[in-house]
Amino acid sequence: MIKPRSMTAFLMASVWLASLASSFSVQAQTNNVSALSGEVNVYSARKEALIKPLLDDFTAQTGVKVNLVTGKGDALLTRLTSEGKNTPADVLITTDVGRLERAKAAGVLQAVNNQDLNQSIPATYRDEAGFWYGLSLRSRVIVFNPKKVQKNQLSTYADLADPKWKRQICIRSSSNIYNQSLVSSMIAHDGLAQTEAWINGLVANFARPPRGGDRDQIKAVAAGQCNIAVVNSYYLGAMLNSSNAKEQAAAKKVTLFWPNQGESERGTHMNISGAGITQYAKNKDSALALVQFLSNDKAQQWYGEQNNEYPVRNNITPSQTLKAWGDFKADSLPVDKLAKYNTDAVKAMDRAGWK
Amino acid sequence: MEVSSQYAAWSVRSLFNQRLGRWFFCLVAIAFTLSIPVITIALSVLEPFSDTWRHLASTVLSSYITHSLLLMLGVAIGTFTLGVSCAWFTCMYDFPGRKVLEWALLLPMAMPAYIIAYAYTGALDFAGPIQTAIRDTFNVDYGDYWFPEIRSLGGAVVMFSLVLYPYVYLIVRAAFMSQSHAILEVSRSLGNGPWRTFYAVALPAARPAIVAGMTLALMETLADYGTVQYFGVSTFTTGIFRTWFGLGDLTAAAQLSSFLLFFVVLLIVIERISRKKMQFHHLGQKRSYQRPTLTGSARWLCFTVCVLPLLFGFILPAIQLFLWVLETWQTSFDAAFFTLVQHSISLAAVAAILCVLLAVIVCFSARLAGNNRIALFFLRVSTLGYAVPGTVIAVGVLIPLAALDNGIDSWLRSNTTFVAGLLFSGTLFAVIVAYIVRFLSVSVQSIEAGFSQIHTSIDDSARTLGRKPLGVLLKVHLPMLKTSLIAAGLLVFVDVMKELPTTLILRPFNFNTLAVRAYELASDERLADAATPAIAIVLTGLIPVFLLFRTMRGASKSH
Amino acid sequence: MQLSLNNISLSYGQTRIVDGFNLHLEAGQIGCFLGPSGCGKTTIQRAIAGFHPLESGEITLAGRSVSTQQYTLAPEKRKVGMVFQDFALFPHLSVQKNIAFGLKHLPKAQASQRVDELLDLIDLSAHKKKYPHQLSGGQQQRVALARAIAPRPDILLLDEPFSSLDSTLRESLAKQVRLLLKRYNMTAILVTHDQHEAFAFADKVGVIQNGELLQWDTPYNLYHKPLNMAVAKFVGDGVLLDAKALNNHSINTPLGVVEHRSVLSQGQTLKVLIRPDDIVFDEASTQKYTIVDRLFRGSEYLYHLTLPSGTVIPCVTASHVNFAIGEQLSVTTDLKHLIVFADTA
Repeated sequence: MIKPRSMTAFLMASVWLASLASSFSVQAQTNNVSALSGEVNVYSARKEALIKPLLDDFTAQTGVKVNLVTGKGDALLTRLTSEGKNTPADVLITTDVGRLERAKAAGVLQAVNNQDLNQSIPATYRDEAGFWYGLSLRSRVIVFNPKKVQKNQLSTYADLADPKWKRQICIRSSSNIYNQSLVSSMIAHDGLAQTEAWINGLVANFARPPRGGDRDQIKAVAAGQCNIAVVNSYYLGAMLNSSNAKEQAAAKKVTLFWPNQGESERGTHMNISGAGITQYAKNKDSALALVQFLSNDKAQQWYGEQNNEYPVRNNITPSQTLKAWGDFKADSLPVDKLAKYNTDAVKAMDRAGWK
Repeated sequence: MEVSSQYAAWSVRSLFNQRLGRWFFCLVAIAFTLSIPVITIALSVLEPFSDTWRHLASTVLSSYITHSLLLMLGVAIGTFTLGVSCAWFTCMYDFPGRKVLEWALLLPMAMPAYIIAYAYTGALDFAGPIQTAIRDTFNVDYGDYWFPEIRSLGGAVVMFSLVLYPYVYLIVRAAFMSQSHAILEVSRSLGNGPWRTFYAVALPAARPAIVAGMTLALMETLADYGTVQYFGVSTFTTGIFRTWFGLGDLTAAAQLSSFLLFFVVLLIVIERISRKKMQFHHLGQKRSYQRPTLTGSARWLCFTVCVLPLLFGFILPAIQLFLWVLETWQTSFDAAFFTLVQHSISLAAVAAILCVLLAVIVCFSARLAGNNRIALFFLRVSTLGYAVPGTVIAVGVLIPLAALDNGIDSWLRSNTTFVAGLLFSGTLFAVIVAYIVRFLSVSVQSIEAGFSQIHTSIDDSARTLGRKPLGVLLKVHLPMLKTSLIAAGLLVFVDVMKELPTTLILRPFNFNTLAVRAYELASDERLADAATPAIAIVLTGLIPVFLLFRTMRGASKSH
Repeated sequence: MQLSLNNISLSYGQTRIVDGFNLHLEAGQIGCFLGPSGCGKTTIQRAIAGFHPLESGEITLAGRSVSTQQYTLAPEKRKVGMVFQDFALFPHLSVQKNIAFGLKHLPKAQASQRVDELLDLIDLSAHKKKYPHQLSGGQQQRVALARAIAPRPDILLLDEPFSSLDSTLRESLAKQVRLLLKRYNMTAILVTHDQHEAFAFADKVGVIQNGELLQWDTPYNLYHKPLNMAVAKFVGDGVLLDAKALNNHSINTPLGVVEHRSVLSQGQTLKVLIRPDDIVFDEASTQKYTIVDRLFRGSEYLYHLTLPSGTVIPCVTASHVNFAIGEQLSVTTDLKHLIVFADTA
């Protein structure tokens, strides 16, 4: 027999647990079954800091509350897929085109084909049928140490495989999506065989085994560990605008170079961050309003000012940092091709021993 | 033939006799429920092996396996050396600072491996202040001098060893404390010096404890993603993610996870075989032991050995974090920050309580069944999730839970007018279920060790004095297990505080924790900004570590 | 009948260790299972307590059936008290609370009265607030006993309860405990491998070997009237000598011809049991044997003497009878109650 006192304690604990559980499910209901269009639910692979201010703006303007979960693109996609038709998510935001294409292929996005969006966003940066729309551009550029390398020695991505750069190049792991998409773009343009030869040449030129992020590559160039690095331009921008004096100093020691700018060249490789509306969106109107909001002038400018990304739309005034880097020619390859060759790219890099 | 059928009859009867049926049912139910995520992943083996496998096998698979094995070997050596030597010195000798070191040596436990990795990289990287100073002072360049590369397999081994040795230290120290000093004295009287006494008598006697601590450390190592990914070390875990994210092949990724799981089962089996020998209980009284006070160089040697892990595992990285916090604290501290703290603490507390509760139920059920093979099998099954990377567990929770939700919903839709939507998916319930799946092992380890210290004659006495099994548990076991229960709860608490990938994938809308915030900032390569949530994780983790030590010391005093 | 074991069989894992065991104990009787370790005595006791299921047979306790092949009544419902070798005191409870543990069915006042009474009886009233680890071994043993008998069980089972105590304490404690049990008219079974303990404690002792009950009898009869050679060898000191029946009333032994009033057939080969006290020191005797070994026991001397045939026999003398090894000892034999077995070998 249990003594009354311990019985009471046990009961109280059970009640407490039960109320906790029920508070979870109450929360679940308010989250999941929000039939009101007063809300819109977002799964975002963009980090909270790089999207939340815009969402708050949206709420302030429209009164529509935005609920946010952030995470890795593929994890969010898995969540979306397994939740099926009951998913609470209305909008999926990713930081590269590959995940949007995967979402489309998994059948969790719907074709919006909104005229306004189609008009404002160039065809290269959106899905033909309107399953997803690009929101900002991320350019993969070369940075170099001007004390060691002359600008005129640099030309294209392809040139980085030249043996003259032996032990001079820093680049991060091939697990990184931006390297994968760069290689995908090479496959799309030059074919697999030629790209594979290029990867082998590039790997042979590595100054050190790949490690760390893009900022680390920039720092390594600044510190003299390597002369050249391939990075996304917004990391350099973030370092230049950093409150940390050392980061700023390091960034100032390197120079940005736009690859593939020659007459016959295809232009610098670009990836996008973008958004799509889910197949089973319960708040489709608000969702559409949000995607439109994220592509309006003010939002487009915000990406540049906050994260040094380029707008997908042509008519936007770039930020100070972007202006200083000058104009450049962007690769006009439709970004969905990047997704198409992503697996080939990873396998090719595996074969070449690019860690 | 006849004998074996008799045996079968005997064991089945002993399982279901004496109202044990109910407890046994509990054990099976818990084991089954908690293994669903793992089974979901393991079932992927049944799916056809895609082309991805041929690619993996011909290119990177061997390096995943070698790196994982090397990493485990390194961490095994590292945690053993640090954990056992510190445990031995603080247990056997008195030297300057011993009383502080006794508990301070547990501090690195509060430091997540990925955070210590950020801190060391910041300081020791080529572009970091130390190497920059070397270059400036000696006017040398890259390649002109040798400096250990922090972001390497070796670096990862050091990072893991520094934060995981406390598991070994904690468990082995307890074993040394409870060891009869008589056996050590016998050894000395037989002409063995202190060194030989240590490795020929004390060490073998503490072997189950050493193995138990190292198993925990190695399982944590296997499950880690953040550190190895940041260091560019391609292990099994990074391979799983690369296969999933890069190759877009979730099935192959799940199959890889199944093989990781196989590794884990192997580890557990090894640990069990070793633990089986720990069936001795301490009968009679133990004389109190007077630590000899060391003099001369010996005491400084002891002091140095014990202070180094603390210095490198906690103090230095904490200073680095603190320096970063000084740079960024204006922007990091706001109301939202305290919400993060509150979220982290309440999640960790709820998960800790539930893990302890379930661990008590499964351990007690197995004990009632006489710890027979069938019961122990179910006990092990319920704790399989520990070494599975959090992301994999999360997927394993996500898929069946969403299927359950959708099933309930469509049943309700077709039979009633009620629309349920997703009842569990995307709620804290899902997050906590995943925590339990992942961390039940931690609480079971502690509580099982506690149970094994209670001789079965204690149960038998209580039963003959008229208590039902539940009464024995509540009136006899739980009071005797107090220390183990608190230790179990605290270990889970610290683990959940540090937990990242599961939370990231399963959490509800607008819900963040300290770990999520630290990760988002760090993965955006804003290490300095990540320092504030990181140090908050560490500081919150300190509270249970401190409590843990107090209960540990209390226990050794009162018995 | 307070306890009946009817034809019970027990297995441990796949090994059958007890087969068709029968035993009956009257209310108020103190029984004892005596046997070497591994003989199955503890398992039988655990079956009585309800910790071990039966393969076959039945156990009845105070008139109710508590174990059959199909059914094992839970230990807590049997009204069985148990004292363990390691005492199994609850380390988190005081002496007082340990004793009160089994009294939860009693009203508080009554329970505490009974605890006080027992504390008084075991002479530990002054220590009732102490915790088990603060007590000596003998004190812990008494607490364990008090705890077991506090609920007035139908039967008390003691599993080697004295074996972890000093040998000087053992016999006196066994006697004290016996008195206590008799005072409460408690039915009890002691399990031990120590025959002195068994003799000091029990009314009836069962000698168990390989799961079989060899003899269930009073200590006196076990010693003086063993039913078979195995019991004779196990209980007390002594040797078995070869002998032969001369006719139906006399036996030729290595110590001479002895009258014996059992039915013997002429020429039958026999074994006779010689106890040390059957050989008596007698300075006047002409019967002399060489001393091959001797053992000083304080109050007595145990000599080993060799017969002309080479057989060695024991002899106990007073401790002042001091002869060296190799000397001759004069003895007379007192074989009126000679124990004789047919030599089946």
